[in-house]
Amino acid sequence: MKSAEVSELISAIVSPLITMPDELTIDTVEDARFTTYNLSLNRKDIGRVIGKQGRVAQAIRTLIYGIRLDNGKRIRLNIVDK
Amino acid sequence: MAQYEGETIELAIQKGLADLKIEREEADIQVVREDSHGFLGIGKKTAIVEMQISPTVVAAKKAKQEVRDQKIQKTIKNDAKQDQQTVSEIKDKVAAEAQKTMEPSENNQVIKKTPSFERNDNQAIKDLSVYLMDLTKRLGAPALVRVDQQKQGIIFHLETAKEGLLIGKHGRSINSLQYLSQTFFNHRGRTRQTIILDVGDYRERRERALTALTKRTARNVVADHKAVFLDPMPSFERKLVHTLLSDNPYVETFSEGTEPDRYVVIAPRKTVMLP
Repeated sequence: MKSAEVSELISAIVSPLITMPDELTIDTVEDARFTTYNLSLNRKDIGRVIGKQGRVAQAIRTLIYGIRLDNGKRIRLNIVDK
Repeated sequence: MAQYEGETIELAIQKGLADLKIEREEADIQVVREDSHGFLGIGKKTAIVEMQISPTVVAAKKAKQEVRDQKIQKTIKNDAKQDQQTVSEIKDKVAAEAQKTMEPSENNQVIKKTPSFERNDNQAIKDLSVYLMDLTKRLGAPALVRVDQQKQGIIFHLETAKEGLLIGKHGRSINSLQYLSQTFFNHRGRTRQTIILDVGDYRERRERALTALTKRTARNVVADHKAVFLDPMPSFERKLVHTLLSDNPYVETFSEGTEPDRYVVIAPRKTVMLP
C-alpha cells in the first residue's frame, strides 16, 4: 500500500469518530525503519481518538500496523499532544 | 505551486493564505528565500515562500465527498426496498445534510462546535454501514454489509472475498473494527446498543471452537486438580467461557490480567457445589 493511501485510511477511520474532523491533520515522517504518521487534532478530540485506557488508539494501531507499505518500512502512529 | 513575496516570511505566508483562501494548517509551506535586512539597507531582500494546499487535506476532503456520495447511493437503495419516501425527497434531505456539514467549515465557529448530526439510531446504523464499507475497501477487503438487529445487539454481517484479511491473526482486526464501530455508534446512536461484527460465519465458528476448548479444559482441570490459564481473549469471548462453566459444580472460573491480555482461569472448586 502506498503511504498516501495509509494517510487516507487513518483519516477515514478517525474523522467520523471526532467532533471536528476539519481540524484533523496527518503528517508523515520517514526514517530508516519506520514511516511515522503524526495525527494532530483539536484538543477536545484527542480523548476520543485515544479512548478509555487507550483502547480506540490501540484498535486503530492494530488495523494499520498490519499493512505492508510499498517501501517495506513498518508503520507507526503517534497522536500529537499539543 | 504558487510563490508569494513579502517583507518577512510571516508576511509572505499571510499573503499566500489570503490568496489561496485556506487555513494555515491546511497549507504546505516551503521557504524559498529568507528575508534579509542587508547592511544599512544595502542588499536588502524580501522573503519568498512557495505554498500549496496540503495533499492530505485535499485527500481528506475527497474522502469526505466520496462517503457522502455513497451515502446518497445507499439511501436511494434502501428507499427502493422500503418504499417509504420518494427518491427525490431523500436526495433533498441528503443534500440539505451535506449543506449543513459544509456550512460550518466556512467560518462560523459557533455552529462548528455542535455536532452536525442528531442522535438517531437508524441513521447511525446506516452511517456505520457506510463507514464499514469505506474502511474495508481501504483495507483491501471490500465487504458488503448486512444489518441484523437481535436481542443481544446489532449484528453487522460483512461479506467479503478476503475473510482472512478482515479477521486478522486471532481475530484481532475484526475485533478492533468492532470496537471502533461500537465507539462510532456510542457517539451517534441515541440508545445504548451492543455492536457485533461478523465476517462470514467467523463468530459462529469461534463460538464452537471456544465451547469445545472450554469443555475439554474443564475436564482436564477436574482430572488433574490443577488450574488452567487460557489464552488472552476479548471480553465477550471470556464471558462465553464463564457462562458455559457457571453451573459446573467442580470448577470455577475467573479472569486475570489487564486488557488486552486479560485471560480466563479455570480452577478446581475447593468445596464442591451442592446441586
